[in-house]
Amino acid sequence: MPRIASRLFALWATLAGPAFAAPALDVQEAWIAEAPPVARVHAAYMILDNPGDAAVQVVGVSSPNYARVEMHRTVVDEGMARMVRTEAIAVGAGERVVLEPGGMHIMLFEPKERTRVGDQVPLTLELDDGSELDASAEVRQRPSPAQHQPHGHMNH
Amino acid sequence: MNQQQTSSRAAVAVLFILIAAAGLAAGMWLSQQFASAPPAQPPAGLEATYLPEGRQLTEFSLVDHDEAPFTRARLEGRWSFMFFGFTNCPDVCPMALQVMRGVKTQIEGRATPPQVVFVSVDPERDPPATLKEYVGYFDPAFTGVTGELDQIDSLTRQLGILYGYEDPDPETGEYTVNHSAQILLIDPQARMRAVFSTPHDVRAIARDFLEIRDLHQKEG
Repeated sequence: MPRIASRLFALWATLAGPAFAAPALDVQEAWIAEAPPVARVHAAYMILDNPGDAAVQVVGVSSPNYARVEMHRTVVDEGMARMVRTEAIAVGAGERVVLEPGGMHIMLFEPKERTRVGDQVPLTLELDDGSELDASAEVRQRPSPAQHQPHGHMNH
Repeated sequence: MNQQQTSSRAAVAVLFILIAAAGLAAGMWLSQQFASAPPAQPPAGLEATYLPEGRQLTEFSLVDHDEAPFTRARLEGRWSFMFFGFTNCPDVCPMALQVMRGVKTQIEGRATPPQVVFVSVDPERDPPATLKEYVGYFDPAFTGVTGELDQIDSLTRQLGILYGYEDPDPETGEYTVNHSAQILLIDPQARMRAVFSTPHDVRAIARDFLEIRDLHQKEG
């Protein structure tokens, strides 16, 4: 039985084509910063690893928990903070892109319900090859940055 | 003379040198303390941009998140951290508020922490009730402030804070606000004394505040 099942699976995977190939990106440490209940916008952060040998672009993100999702980059230029909307996040072959506070982030508009620390929020990343990648972002409390180590692990 | 005697003589000699050095250091320190006080030098090693004379604020008329007047008088008699932003800001503003929460925790127990004032530069979308809930999430003691645009401008101009609105998204009407990301330190005479640029570091800001406060106390 298991052999037949696995053969059927292999056949189906072959027919399904690239949409079923191993995910082109590895999503790690996806999290959403808990925000005041009154906040209409949230931010999600994550690490995107591309283990493959071709560049991959994230061209869209969606979540059933939010009305709309965009990709943004915070830019501080001569002390002035701006949010720049980006249509795609490119991850080169074998490269890693870190979405983190003060930099690139997923902007989540109009939460449909209150999110609390510990909640898991589903996110779907749309890739430039047409495939979709499901991820789960944990709601966490925003850390207080110290020692210019936004995601470091140095001891002080 | 055996080995042990030699080493104990050496130890005595080292001890004398240490005592002499400590005495010299103490003397230098005392002479510094009692010398006719030179004008306060900006302390070395501050991460902040320090304004030795401070920039005196003139009157402005805003409201706090309880709709009580928020004027220059609210900055007098206590230290204040100020930050300008808006609540539809997913990244920079919550980061800054979380930083100021962390700074407050670092200072508590060593000094009275400054009040924290979050001024919205987006009054249309940030009425006082919204601000109250927003800043209260980070710390119930934080104060949200808003007001008429011309009054906001009269404060931002004095502090060198810039802001501007991006064109609304044609589909959603959503707009974002560009704004200065510095945290400002105001002294108890309502003078701007320091500017903390990004990236903000909780420990550095707390350390700088304590140093600037000491300096301010020496000024009398």
